[in-house]
Amino acid sequence: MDRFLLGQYIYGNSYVHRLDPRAKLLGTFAFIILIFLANNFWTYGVIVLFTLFAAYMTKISAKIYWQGLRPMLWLMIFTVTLQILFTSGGDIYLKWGIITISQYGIINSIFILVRLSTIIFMSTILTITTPPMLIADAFASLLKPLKKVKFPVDQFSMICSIALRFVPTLMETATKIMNAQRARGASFNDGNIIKRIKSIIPMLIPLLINSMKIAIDLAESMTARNYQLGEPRTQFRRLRWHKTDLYVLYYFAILTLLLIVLRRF
Amino acid sequence: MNQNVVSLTKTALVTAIYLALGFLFQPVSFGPLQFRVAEITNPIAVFNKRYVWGITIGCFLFNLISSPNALIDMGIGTANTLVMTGVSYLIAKKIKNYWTKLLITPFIGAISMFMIAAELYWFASAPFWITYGTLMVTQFAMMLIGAVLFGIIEEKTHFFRNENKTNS
Repeated sequence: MDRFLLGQYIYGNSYVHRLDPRAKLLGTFAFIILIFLANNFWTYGVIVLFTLFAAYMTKISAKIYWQGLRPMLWLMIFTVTLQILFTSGGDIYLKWGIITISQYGIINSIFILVRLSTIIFMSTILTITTPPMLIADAFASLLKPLKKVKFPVDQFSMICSIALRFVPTLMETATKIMNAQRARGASFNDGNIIKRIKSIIPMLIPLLINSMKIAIDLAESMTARNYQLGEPRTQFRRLRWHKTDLYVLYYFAILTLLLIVLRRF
Repeated sequence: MNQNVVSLTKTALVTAIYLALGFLFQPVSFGPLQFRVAEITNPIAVFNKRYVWGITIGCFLFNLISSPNALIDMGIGTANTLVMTGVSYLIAKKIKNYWTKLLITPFIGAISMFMIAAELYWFASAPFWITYGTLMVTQFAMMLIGAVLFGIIEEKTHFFRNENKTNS
């Protein structure tokens, strides 16, 4: 737990790392919408090249991207297998009972595989090149227009900041409590599932009480500093939009145009 | 002390608990056969409306930061958590028995997983009913553990229902 990492962020100084997190968030959003414009090998080819180019620009090893793909690997294999075995259309290569291996099945499965893996790649690019706190800040910043419809953007942003700051404290406290209880003979890894759950309870109670104290102390400290809900605040981390961030939007404009043209072939 | 600020920090605390559990068990928290341990916090929503927001923001941040499909999961997953915890809170308000209130949440959680199954069907072409089935089972198990666990803790400490005390 001492080496606990928040999120997937990997420190770096690449072009993608330096981009404004709002540009990266908007780009990832745009990508998820744009991928539905792809409908043939040309358009999916462009999507793959675009994704590989973006991944290359992060200067992060392919191994990290593979780790991003791994949790969804079974879903991908399962979906692709179903598509190959049960989709009919075009040339039929094999027919055995309800199982049909057809041209459309194979093409569809390739498209699904590309769609899913490129979405995962793009999401990984966002999360490995942007610290979690900045992602939350960027999201809160993009939500600002919602203030007009009375959405509590500032409170939302404050909760995100406090919670992300709270996590390492929680982990540290949990480790201390577990070590203290282990020293008194407690065991957290023995016995069946019910025994294990029961062994967690004496650890969770002091953890929750401790955390509640921290929450109350924090509220007192914020009140003492005259924190007012809904009032405008200054920020320690200020997001600045640069010329290079604008280029991201140009890249996506070019991608959109390419997809619109190529989807007719 | 300003009670609105206390409420804000308590909400952030629940968000942090969701996130901590999420990050600890991150490798098994996504996909059609997911064991998202952080979901054990969902039954807390029955104690106070503020925890509906705390858990929802926790789910939002966890998906945004850690999910392989960050933005898709962030949208649909967060909406799912908001609906699940919101409905649990509203139904629980009408139930007087402490344990019934808590033990109804795993059923609501399991039923609401159709949203995640639909997401996986739409974006990954995963078969809807099989995915829905596996998600229902794992979600039910996680929330049942959470309901029992937090039920016992709350019975002993009144931690989540007490407005301003630290129980110390």
